[in-house]
Amino acid sequence: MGCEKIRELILEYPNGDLTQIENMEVEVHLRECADCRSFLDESHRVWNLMDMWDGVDVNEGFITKFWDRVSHEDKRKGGIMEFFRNWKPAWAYATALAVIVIVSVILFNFFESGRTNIVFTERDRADERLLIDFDKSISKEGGQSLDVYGPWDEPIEENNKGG
Amino acid sequence: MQMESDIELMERVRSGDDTAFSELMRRHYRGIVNYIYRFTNDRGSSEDLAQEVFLRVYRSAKRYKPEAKFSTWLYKIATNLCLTEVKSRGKDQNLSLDEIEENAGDIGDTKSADAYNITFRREIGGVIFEALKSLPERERMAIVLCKYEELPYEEVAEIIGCTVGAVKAYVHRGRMKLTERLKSYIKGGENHGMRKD
Repeated sequence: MGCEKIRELILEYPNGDLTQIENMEVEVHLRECADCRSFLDESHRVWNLMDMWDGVDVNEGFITKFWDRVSHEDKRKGGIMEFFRNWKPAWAYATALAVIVIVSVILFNFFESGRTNIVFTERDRADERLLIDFDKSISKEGGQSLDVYGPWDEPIEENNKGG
Repeated sequence: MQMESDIELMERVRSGDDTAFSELMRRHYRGIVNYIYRFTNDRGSSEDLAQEVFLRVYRSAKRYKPEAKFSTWLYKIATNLCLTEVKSRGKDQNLSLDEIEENAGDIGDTKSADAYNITFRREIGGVIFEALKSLPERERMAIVLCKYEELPYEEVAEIIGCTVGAVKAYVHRGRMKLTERLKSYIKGGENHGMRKD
């Protein structure tokens, strides 16, 4: 077994986690290999060195502090919920109003964009009156007498070709 | 009177008994604060984060299902929180020796202990922290849980979310790297009362 494999086993060796065969192999290898002996020694000393990093003495008030925090958070949460509970109808009204305003603006813009700007002048009104009077005054015979200017049913182009 | 198990206490917490949660905290808070301390090397924030761990447990008590040991669940939450904290602090945040000393834990009665020893122990704490910090995440977690929390491989495997074999491999690889990085401090350690067996 090579040094690499032995070093994998070496760290388990003092814990008694190795099989009997593995134990023997490690022991035989260590007797012969000074590098692995040194590695085993160093790794255990470093492991022990790590014990020198002391932990922290935790404040006895940890549990009291925890419950203070819980009650503080509960109060804060309760406060926020209260705020939303009071403001709930107002928010609904505000949302409905906002929707109405938005829809009105959209519809207004839609109809406005389809409309052309027509100005009805005094002259148009006079023409309109003239046409109404003419329509009222004309009789069947009078209408037929206008055929001299016809024929009215033929398309204008045809008429133009002829003339 | 037989002591109630953690799971029994948690069942009581589920039904709204806060005194049972106080008892659970009494059993575990020292371990959790120290576990977090190995990730932050900062006493103040370790306590704050431990409070956060217990708060999460308390808030999710109703959803607790006793599928694993309570402590496994607790360490899992603490581990996730530690990793988030470590990442948020950034990789390039290195404390000066003064800061390390300021943040270091209590190391006993300073009047009776040798001042030189105290300085060494504080300094070596910072050095070990930096050496652990340089390890990949899983090797670091496995070593902290096995070495400092003295948890069995099976429980560490559950906390990290891997097999027992993988935990052994992480510990092994981590130890090889730590040996390389810390061997120059062995002599100093032995001069300041380090165990030699």
